Amino acid sequence: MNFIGIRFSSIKNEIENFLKTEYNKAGILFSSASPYGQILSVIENLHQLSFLYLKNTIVGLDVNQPGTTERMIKNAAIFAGHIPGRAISASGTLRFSLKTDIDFEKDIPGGKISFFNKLNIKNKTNSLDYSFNIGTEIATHRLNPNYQFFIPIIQGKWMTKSYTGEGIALQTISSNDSGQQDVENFNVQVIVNGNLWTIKKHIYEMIPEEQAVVVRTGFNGGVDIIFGNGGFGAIPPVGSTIQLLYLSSEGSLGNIFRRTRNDWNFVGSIFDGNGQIVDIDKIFNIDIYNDITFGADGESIEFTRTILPIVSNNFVLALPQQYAYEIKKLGVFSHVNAYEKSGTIFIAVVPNINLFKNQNSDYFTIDKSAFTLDTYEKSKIDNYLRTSGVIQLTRKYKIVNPKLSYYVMNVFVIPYSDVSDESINSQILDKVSNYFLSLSRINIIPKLDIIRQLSNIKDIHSVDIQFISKKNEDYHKSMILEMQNQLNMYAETGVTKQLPNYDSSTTLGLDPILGDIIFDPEEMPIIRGGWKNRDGTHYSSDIEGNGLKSVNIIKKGSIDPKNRPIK
Amino acid sequence: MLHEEREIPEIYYMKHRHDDDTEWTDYEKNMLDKMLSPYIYENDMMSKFLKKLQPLTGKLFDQMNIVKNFRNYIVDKYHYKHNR
Repeated sequence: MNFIGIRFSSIKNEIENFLKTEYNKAGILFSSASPYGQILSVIENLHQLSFLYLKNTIVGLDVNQPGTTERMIKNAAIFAGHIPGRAISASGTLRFSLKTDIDFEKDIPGGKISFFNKLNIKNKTNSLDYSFNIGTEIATHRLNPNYQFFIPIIQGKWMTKSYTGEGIALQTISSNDSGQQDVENFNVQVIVNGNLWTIKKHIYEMIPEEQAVVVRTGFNGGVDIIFGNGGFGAIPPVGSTIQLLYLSSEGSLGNIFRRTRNDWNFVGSIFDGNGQIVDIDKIFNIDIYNDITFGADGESIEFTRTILPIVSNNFVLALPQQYAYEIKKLGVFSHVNAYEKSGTIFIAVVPNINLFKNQNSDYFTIDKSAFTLDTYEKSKIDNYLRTSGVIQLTRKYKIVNPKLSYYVMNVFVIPYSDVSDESINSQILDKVSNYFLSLSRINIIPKLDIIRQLSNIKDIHSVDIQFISKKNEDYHKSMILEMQNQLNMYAETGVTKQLPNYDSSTTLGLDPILGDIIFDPEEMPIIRGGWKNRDGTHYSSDIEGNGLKSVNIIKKGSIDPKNRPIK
Repeated sequence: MLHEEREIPEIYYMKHRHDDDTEWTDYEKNMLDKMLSPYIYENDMMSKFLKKLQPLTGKLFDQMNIVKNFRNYIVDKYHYKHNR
């Protein structure tokens, strides 16, 4: 029998012919609008759909296929031992201060309030859920006039899903959130028959019959939960209740850059001394005390690709690159550089400014403090490192702010004559701003990178750029001054020796031939004026100013628009 | 669903009695019901026939899950609760 010759459409035709004959016997006309005609066409479509589904699935097994999706690449990375980072919720602190115009006895009976951990609140401006993150199950505050207290909060809403123990070794559960939300990277809990089980990174970390479980980023998004086999971790009994509690996070959307007072709605309840629900908005002013930041989306595919070469599978923090890997995985830093000096690992990190900056500001207008970490942010990283891996004994590390190296940039451009200067300037500044906001280079910034970006502007005929390094200018300025002083001194004393060892061709912070930016591991280059060059010419930090500034766009004539390339 | 049919119903129930994840589609129970005109179901005989046909069409999709789960070592071969 020739099976290749059997086609679904042929079978369908045969059935149709049969039905036509049968219908005709009853004196009725058969068409695709007839009940059986309709059923046939639906079945045919479903069959075709399932074949499309099968084809898609098979394509998914080969990451080199053109139709490869994000999920397939992530799955391949999981096979390679990498645990892709999920969304990280923004966190910060709220300050509750008692309003002065309240009737203390009437509004707060019992003079105290109590609330539970994970209490759900909603931000009025962005309509996202946030949860109390107080570290204890319940907190009580005894109030008095002018009383204030602080509550750490985290973006997201705690969700619970239930599963059943199957009583088998290495039971696994795959769970994910649908929609935009993702299971938060750190806030996951597994409760079996009411007991909280410890979360481990690998089954070999679990001791015999230990109430522990492995939680990893899932193949289909969300998380995969792997229970033990008795020897490594306990097996949940058959029929037991397994509860998965997780924070459903919106990632970077949860960052809040403003400090609006009383911007919160309480979804969960806070109780007074008599156990009655308190209207918290009425009695407290609520301010954002520490910025609600550090929220980041799940790992992007570009990020997975760049991080794969430094994947560390052993969860040990020993080498600088292992520290860099762990911190990069957080996804909230654009620049991470770890280096060893005198037995200590220095970790220079720069926050991903895109996540923290106001939407209206750009690279040239944000405050310089955005490039550095404050003590609170450093403590967050420190805490993360201590919980994410085993730090090698005797190993010391230090989280440092990178030294900012200042540069200004000259852009030489020949535009087409039918474009206004303002349009060209804003397009160039936009490209440069975007490039430096998502800077991924760690030791060199080739001019090519930026020229490539600027080449995408259609109104430009040709372009070149030049960097001027403050470090280089400072060096030459000080050496020229010192030379001058020495020469003046020698002219008086007649001694002609001991001129400083000055090489006028030295270029610090720049490639001497190509002019690319070169920087050390502890440095972070920024394009910002506010300093003078060796000749005393001042570069302003005001990007809107008229004189020389952070980015100087110099027009070298223009080209007739009829010379625009024709597609 | 093939996942359920591997075990006797009592055992299957015991192993899944606390499960509460509902974000998936049960093809066997509502595939044709959702795709065909409700008018067809007004004929009792046709309705009975379609209810018998429905699990078979559902199997078309259920069997694709085996390939879909092929590289995912976390889930069962017949895992069907995909929601993405």
